[in-house]
Amino acid sequence: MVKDLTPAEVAEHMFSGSRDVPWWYDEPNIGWPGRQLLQEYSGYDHRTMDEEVIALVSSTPFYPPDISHV
Amino acid sequence: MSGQQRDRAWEMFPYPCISQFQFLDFSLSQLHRLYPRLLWRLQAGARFLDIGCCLGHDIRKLIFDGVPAAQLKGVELQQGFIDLGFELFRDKDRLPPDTFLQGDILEDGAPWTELAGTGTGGFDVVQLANLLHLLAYEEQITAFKRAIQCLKPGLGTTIFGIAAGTVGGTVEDWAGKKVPAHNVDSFKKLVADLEKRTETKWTVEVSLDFAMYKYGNRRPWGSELVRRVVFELTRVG
Repeated sequence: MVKDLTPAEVAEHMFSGSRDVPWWYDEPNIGWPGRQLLQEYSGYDHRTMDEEVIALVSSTPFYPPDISHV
Repeated sequence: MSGQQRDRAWEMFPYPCISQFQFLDFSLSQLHRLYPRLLWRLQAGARFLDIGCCLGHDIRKLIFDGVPAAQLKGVELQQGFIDLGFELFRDKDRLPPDTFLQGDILEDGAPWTELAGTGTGGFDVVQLANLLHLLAYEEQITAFKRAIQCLKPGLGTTIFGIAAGTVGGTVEDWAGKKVPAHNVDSFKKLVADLEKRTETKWTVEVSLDFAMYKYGNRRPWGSELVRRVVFELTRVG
């Protein structure tokens, strides 16, 4: 289940741009539009962006992604 | 926030679109037939309202692509999503303070009175994205009525969006409700009903695609029959 992934593993999948993605990640090109905007609009440093974004989202009530009841 | 609080909060917001980080997809910009036309229209001065804007990611993408923020507004049920959006995108000091408003599409009053097309507000384009599949039939009608209320009077205004649907246009037990999961036919019937109730006329472009199908049969809430509904209504009467 997704909730068993660590934030680092989620980050790896979310930002890798890989097409070898887990079942819940069904937009293979998600990496680039998100990365571009977060860098150029929001000012994230590309070297630390993955960790910062995942840390932010994973610290909110909207995470972990337990969707089993939806 | 304690673990107990977090659990309660999560129960309030069980949206797969959040848990799957879909807000970094910028799904609006991936509607390849619609987005260039929308962008051109907004860059020419049209006003855009995103009802159910979630973290406000589509609005940020529009700004990033050159649309002035003053022409854009988002309404979101959960204030927590608005707050998280500001934190994630780091732009609270750059956007007009009323860019995002908290509001319930099913409840009258604020912020809808100030957004109404008969007031100083009024929009050329309203988006209802990933919203219909959380609503029962009458609530879907209410959602479209609300969108119409927020549009400028006159012809040529547009309501568009995406939603989860099914091949058969079936009624599904989603989010604890009996939700019409539309196909092309059932969506057109919904619009015909809307036209009668609001005495308006709309051209309807609606299609199903596989954006919500891939791996759908492996999702607890999905099935091989789930599709994404993409719709665009243009007022002609």
